[in-house]
Amino acid sequence: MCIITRTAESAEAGSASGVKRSGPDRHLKDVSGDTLSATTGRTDAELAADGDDIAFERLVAAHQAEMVRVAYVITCDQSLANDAVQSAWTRAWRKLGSLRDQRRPRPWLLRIAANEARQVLRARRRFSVVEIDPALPAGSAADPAGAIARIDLVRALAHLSPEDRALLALRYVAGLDAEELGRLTGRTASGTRARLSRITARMRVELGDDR
Amino acid sequence: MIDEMTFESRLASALRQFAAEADGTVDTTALARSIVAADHGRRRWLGSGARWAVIVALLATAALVATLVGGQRERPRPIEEPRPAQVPNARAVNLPAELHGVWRGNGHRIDLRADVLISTEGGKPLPAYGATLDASRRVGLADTFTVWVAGACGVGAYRVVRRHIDELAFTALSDPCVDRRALLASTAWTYSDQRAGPELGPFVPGQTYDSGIFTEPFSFVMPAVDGTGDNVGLPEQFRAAWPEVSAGGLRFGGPWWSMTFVDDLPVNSDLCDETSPLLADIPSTPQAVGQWLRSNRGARVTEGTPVPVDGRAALRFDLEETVAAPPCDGGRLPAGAFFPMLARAYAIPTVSDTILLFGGADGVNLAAVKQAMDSFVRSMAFR
Repeated sequence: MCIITRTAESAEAGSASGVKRSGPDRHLKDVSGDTLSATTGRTDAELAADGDDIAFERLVAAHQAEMVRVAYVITCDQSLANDAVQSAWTRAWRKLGSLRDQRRPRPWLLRIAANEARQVLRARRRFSVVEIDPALPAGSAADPAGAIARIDLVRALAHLSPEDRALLALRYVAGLDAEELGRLTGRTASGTRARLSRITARMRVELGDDR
Repeated sequence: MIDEMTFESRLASALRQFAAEADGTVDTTALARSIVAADHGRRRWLGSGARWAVIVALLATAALVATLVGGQRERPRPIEEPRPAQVPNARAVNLPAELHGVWRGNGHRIDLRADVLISTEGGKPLPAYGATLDASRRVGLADTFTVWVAGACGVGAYRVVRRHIDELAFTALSDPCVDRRALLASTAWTYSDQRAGPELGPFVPGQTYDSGIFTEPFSFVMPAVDGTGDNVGLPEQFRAAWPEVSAGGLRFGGPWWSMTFVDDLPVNSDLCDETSPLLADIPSTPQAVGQWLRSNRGARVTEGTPVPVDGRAALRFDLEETVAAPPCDGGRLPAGAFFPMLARAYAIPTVSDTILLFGGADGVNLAAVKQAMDSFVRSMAFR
């Protein structure tokens, strides 16, 4: 189940800067956003690890939005989320060569984004002073009955540790399963499930949800 | 079960809605190019074979000249004198360690350990508002304690509530000083990032330092960590360490790991239950520390493994949170000292009692941090 996309622009083969650049190529994009060069059979992560900056651009384009969403749930702050993801990309660019499974960079990238979000929070020590905007964003007014109100959600998130918010974001926003989360955090899948269960229970208490 | 699932699905939906507010629409091409460009200078310099060849040739020439001029003299060695960690002397205010540092709010800042409690944002002290005279011994995340403040306009008493981890709120119990009362009690004081001052770091891997503050001080060699695989950030964290010195100990760490010495601090009888009775100090022998660690309701603790520390019989314990039990968060240990689920502890005997080194990290970095902790304790040498 792949769709074919083209690179946004024609890339120069080689450059004066010495950074490798992939030439015009067709790229197969799978549902996770990871792309595969049709001519070389290599993923963008593999190409970027070799210094291919065009492949890196594609990688950023494919994963940026989701990484920001994950970082946003952890930081509850747009600018902090942006800062975190920018730092995450810098790390990713330098560390792509050490990524074990370069055919599946998505969980690794999300984890870096989550870790950077935690780092930004701890560095700025701001997670307890999240500015809560009581105004609901457009579209929220039509929330169905029983939906968790945004303001309550943000307040409840503010009571969790950044680590717990990261787990929630990776599980429920990025949709990583317990096995993937376990691999990323060094825990067993059952341990991860138990942890998530506790966090969910805590959120339920924080949200006063007794239904 | 159905109810749980319903809540979980509603929570997931709310989280996704909230996450969707995030604006991720940056110019990703520009972002990627800026990152590559910023890194390129470094790579180009390091990657140039010709440049390295020139450097090596120059160094070889310099070494040859030095040998010819200086003869066969022995090369100088680094002096192995421990460098002092230069732990600042705290004022003798009986203040919870969690409250150390600068708190900011409404154009002013407070430092409960400074000679003057309140200063302007620019750091100019406001002597009329005095200094902290005394405070209660312990404070938890949301506990209250009372602080007495001296100043030209008299002594005032306040109750301080610590909200979450990074916010203080003062309530005046009695204070004749109207201005101070208005200033202290009308502001939510938030913790200001206090990275190590220039006197505290960074701690350089391989360098020897003196611990300073302990009853029986010791020197230690800051370990280097060779991060591999997915250990993003760990080496940098060590090189730009974030040490915090508190009344009870010495801490090194970063966002994903920490190593904290705990000494002369009250601890919960159950490490995983902050409502359990407080012990006046950590148990006095490594064996007793092991018993204490194991008598908790939330963490599985290994048997003590003997580890020699400067010829003394220390014990090492690994802690892992059990699935069935409530979460273990270290009770009332100093903030950041205890990593949930994944931690290691060393009980090290001293001349008078036992000091405890707690360390932990997230799962990815844990193995490297454990290795670093082993290296750290084996380098310790008591004075």
